[in-house]
Amino acid sequence: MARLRISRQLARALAVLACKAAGVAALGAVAACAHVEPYERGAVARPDMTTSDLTGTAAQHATSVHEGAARSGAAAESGCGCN
Amino acid sequence: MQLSAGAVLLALGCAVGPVGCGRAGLGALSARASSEAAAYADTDHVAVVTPSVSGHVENPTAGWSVDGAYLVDVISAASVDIVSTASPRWTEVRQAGSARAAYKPGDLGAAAEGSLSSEPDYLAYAAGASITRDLDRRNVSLVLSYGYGHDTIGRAGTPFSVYSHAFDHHGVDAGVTLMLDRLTVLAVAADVILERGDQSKPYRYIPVFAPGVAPSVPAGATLQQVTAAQPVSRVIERLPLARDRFVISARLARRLTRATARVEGAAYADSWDMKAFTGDARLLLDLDRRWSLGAHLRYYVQSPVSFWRLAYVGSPESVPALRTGDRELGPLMNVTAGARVRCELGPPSRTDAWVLVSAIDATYTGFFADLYITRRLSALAAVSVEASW
Repeated sequence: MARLRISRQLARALAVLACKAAGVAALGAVAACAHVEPYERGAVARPDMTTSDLTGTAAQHATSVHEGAARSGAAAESGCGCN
Repeated sequence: MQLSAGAVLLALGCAVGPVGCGRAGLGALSARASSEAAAYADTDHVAVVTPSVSGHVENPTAGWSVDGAYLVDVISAASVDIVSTASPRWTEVRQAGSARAAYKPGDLGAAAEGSLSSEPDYLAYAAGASITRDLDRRNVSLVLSYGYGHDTIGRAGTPFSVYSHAFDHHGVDAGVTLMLDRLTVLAVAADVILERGDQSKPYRYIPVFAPGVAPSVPAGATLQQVTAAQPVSRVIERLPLARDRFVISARLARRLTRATARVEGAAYADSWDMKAFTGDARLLLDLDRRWSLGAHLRYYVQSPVSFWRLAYVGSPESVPALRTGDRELGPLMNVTAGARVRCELGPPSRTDAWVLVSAIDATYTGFFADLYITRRLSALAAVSVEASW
């Protein structure tokens, strides 16, 4: 039980730390925003530079089953192995 | 289903015959068709096979595009949830289809989409629309979208007209994409999802224990241990009738010398008091002109909903008003590691005309306070083929 409590505390601490780091990084990135001309966009036009999700249909389905925050609707209910 | 399937067939019809479409005078038409086959299995005795197809047709000059997708899930499960209710392994099939149309002739664009999912005890449909606006010569893009969904939950073998309950969900998403420099793109989004109605599952029975017994029930108990603890009753799941969900997410992609790095993060909170965080990182390495190799790492952690209990306390006359046996509403964490290989198989003049992608992900889930399970290991393998014209 004590081990469970420590794991939960550690997970929460990591989550808080990661949230703060992401926030600072995002603010820093916006502040550093530069104007990019159309002829300079060869690299960002690559398919793997898209801001859309790169995961396939099945991987998205697995995520919606495994993560309570993503879990909503039919995709999450199907394949969860739950009643 | 008929509407979505029709749209899919229309999209795929153009996808397999784009030359014919071009002859009709539609100009610079391009099309893409893909098919994916995936298999999932976990240590909780759940297996899922998912074949899917999708198609995309667009005219970049005119600014319009049409997408369609269709998938089938074949699920076989004998998980602890099912075994604990003395039910045998079951097999179920879900079919889902979606269609999307977008028009963006300039800096302003709009899109509409719809989807339908059907399985013996669950029917869901959704529709939505979005508008996009590019600013500062497309260095900044804004998107605002709204979606509505209606889900009907029933029991397998019983018509929805005899027994069912429903819930509705409304979602609003606002996002901005920033081109930070010629190698870096950042997207930030905020989502609000409002769910109204009864989401409780009609098969899910929750054991309720006497006050003196509940604290001694361990996490990950066997069926024998639960039976030995002599639950005072087993009551059907009851969830709150409203849930407000909030998500803030960010995705950063940066092109390196011979690789692309992607980092994602999302923070989540809802009115059931669940809080969650997701971190996701990918590195996609170019091995040569045709081959690329990817590595994937994902971390997810969530706190339980406010009414979550490892062992609910009550008496035959009085049971908790809210109770659930859905382990994904309890405290848990996931760690996923995966790899991906991508190969372009087209002719030298256009190697990406045919693309083969193979991916595998393994996920460890730790359940911190669940009655029947403490950990789960799962694997997902997928192979997809994409053709474009």
